[in-house]
Amino acid sequence: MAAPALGRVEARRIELGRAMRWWPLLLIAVWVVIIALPGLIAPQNPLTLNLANTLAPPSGSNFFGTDEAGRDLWSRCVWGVRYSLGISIVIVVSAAVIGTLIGGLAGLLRGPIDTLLMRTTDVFLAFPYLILAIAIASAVGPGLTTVVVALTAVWWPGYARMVRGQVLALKELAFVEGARAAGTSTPMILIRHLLPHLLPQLSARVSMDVGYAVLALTGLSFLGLGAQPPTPELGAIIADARSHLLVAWWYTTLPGLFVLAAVLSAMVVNDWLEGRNKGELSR
Amino acid sequence: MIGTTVCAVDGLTVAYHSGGEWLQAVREVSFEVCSGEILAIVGETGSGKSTTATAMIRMLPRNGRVVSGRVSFDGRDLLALSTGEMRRLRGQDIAYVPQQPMSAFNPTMTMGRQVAEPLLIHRGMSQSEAAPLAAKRLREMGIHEVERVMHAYPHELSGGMLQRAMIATAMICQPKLLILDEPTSALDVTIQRQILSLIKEVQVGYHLAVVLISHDLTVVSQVADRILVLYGGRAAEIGPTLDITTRSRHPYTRGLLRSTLTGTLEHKAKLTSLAGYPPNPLEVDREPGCPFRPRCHREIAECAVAFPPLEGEPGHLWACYDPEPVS
Amino acid sequence: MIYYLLRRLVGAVAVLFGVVTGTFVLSHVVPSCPACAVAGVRAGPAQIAAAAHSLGLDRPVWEQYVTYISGLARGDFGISYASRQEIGPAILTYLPATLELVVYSFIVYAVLGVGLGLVWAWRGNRPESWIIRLFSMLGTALPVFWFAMVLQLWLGSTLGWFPITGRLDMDPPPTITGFYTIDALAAGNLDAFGNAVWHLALPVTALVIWLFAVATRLTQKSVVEEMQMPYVRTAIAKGAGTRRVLLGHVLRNAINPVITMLGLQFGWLLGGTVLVEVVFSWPGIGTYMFNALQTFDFPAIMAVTVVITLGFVIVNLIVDLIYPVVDPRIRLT
Repeated sequence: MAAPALGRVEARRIELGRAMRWWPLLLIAVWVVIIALPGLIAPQNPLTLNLANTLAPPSGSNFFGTDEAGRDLWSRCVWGVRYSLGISIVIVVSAAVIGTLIGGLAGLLRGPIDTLLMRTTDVFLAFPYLILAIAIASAVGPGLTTVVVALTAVWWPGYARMVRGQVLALKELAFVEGARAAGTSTPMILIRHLLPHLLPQLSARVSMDVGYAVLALTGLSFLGLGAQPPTPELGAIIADARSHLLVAWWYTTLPGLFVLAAVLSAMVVNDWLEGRNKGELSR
Repeated sequence: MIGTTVCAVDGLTVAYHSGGEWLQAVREVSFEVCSGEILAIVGETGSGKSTTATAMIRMLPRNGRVVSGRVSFDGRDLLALSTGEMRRLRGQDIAYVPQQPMSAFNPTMTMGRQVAEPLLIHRGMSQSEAAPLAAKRLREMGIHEVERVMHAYPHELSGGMLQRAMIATAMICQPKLLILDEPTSALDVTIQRQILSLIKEVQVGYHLAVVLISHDLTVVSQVADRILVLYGGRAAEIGPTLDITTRSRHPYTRGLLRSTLTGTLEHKAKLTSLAGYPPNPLEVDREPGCPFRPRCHREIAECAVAFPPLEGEPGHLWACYDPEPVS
Repeated sequence: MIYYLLRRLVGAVAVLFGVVTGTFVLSHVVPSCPACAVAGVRAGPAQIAAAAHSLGLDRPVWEQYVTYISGLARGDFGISYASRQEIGPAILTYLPATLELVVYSFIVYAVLGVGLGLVWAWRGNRPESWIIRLFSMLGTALPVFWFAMVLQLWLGSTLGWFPITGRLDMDPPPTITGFYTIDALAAGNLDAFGNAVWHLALPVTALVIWLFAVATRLTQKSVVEEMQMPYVRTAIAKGAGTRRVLLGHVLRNAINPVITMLGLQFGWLLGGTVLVEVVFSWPGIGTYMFNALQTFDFPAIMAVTVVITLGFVIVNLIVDLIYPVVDPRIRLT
């Protein structure tokens, strides 16, 4: 039969696609190692001052050079990215949990509770997210915990809206009625029955938001609202670099690459999760 | 009055790429259509009739390919033209009326703009220049409140009006060939008749060559001059309407006729339906021989070996080793 | 249709009310001791009490709330703790610089984002699309303040192609709009116009690169989905070329979600502007807020919050009002 065969380029691409399916997990593994065992790749102490070697350019002993107090920039960045990623994950997961509870209850209970919760959500969402975070952080006072609180407060409404929408769609399905008929309480319905259906979309969104949270977190630290010195936090490091912008290019340029790497990894994981979600839906 | 050959399709074979494989949807189909006649292409779902039409004007979906064949129009092979040349023909010399008029229009554009659009594309007119022509065409196609329709949006009009508007759009540049894909399938029975007579009027009035695609043999036999019956991507029978309806030779055509309601039914006459199901393209691909075999009561040994050649009388051909006798 | 517009307006007002209530809670209820900040670090209880009284902080909460709201309605944003000046007029002086930056960034970003999305949708799987995809991913992942600094360092200082800070190197043209670009053109001062644009280049670039990806991706997705619709085949059957199909048919149907997203991303733009202003020492309300943050000047911080949020609410309202204009389907329901 004279049918055109599948092109060789196309066949290779499909093979490569199949092999590459699992490498986001590898990426996650790498980051877990960095967070758990920073000493492995950054043997020097990020806090050690060395006033004899301030603002030194990158070299064999200091991959990223040193800052104005002689501290090794590479170590500070590695430790800093631990904070950034770790705290962002905490923020986003907390926001997701709070948002799911609120959105889920709003969707299940409807009526005045729904209206109240959703109006509150609307007010939160009416603020540009960074501005709200700045306002909250400044009201509570700078510090890493403040930033966590501020960013969690900024992020939960998005989840509330998303979960409420999904719950509204799901509750029409028979199994919810069955659970109610069996006398299950509303929170239990949410947790036991609806949550498994919500998880795929939630996890995809969480992975994306971790990336955005890292950006927001470093932004707040840049403004001075986050981690206080001498804690190495990437945003704060970059802010410190401003005073030395013209003389120490490494101080400005290199730490941002860590942020970039963290956020890109989050986006890759998100892409992967969304791909899997789509795959499951089409089955 | 039948005139010259406007379009000749010769040995057209079209395949689709689906699920990692190439499946042939149309195999070596050949036919001609002349000015002044309506050729109907009839077949079940999956027979390849729509594919044939879209392949002719090179509007196959991304996963479709013309494997072989020639489509002559105006002395040129349409399949060999450049994209630009083909675009110039579409809407201007060859018009295609797609299925389901209700969804074929842009919901956010007024009808006036959509009907006039071919003039803007091919004649370089502005909307204000083209609007009166569009209005004239709409009136010609039997639309009465032309002003209202020109400013209306598609969802404000009925299926029948939309189909008339679609035909008006197709005719606005006065093409030589008009292809209509299932023009009546989505409409009520009474509207069907109106649209069919409209098609006939338009064909006569403009001395057009018309290709009419349908799954309903009885409907098209009211207006078609010649009929091509497709089965499993192959031509089963082709001939003048009278021959096809009264003296068909292919068992499939006979089966189709016997299973449909015609005007003349005797009291308590039985409808016999065709046994079996329309062919699975995958199976048809793999097995040699006539695709109708599983449902045919006249199967003989040769049917399994190779597809029967098209032969018969001048003007009336069929592809069957053991055709039905003339009744 | 009128009902639609009215409902949106009422909704916006309600949200604004919520916003100012929120800022009130943040500025009057949350901080442990605002009066302490005013009175200074070494103040004793008497001085703190005096400060509290002078700021009206010893009044019952609901009374403070009413004062706050009525003050805002009059445009009175209170007195800055740090400078002892009225905040309202101060914001007004800084506002045009921010507006100029925001408006130009938004226009460039919208045009670039949607345009690239169209190209991506049109070009399908060809190399141009992969490049767009890669760059858009990189763009979103950048910390905008860092990228601004990188631009400042490498394009501004090292290569010397662009200025490093500020809005203008010369005397500003006579004020009409506060936009140096427009005012310069109005005064026929092409030198000032060029210089203003030159100063705008880096900040706008930083913001646009950070933002464009989301617009591009959504436009591409929306257009690709819309291209599956039957009317696209009809247009092709009429002989329409890709340009006519995309721009004349698909875009107006696909634009709806894109407009919504542009409105929401305006919020990102506003946050990013604060960061970029700090980096480039751009004399806008972002810098004003940054200075207020350094001095814990609550009234100023909250005032800027309210102003910026007001801008965001207005933009989203405009987005809501634009829908019927763009999409006839909404007009008719």
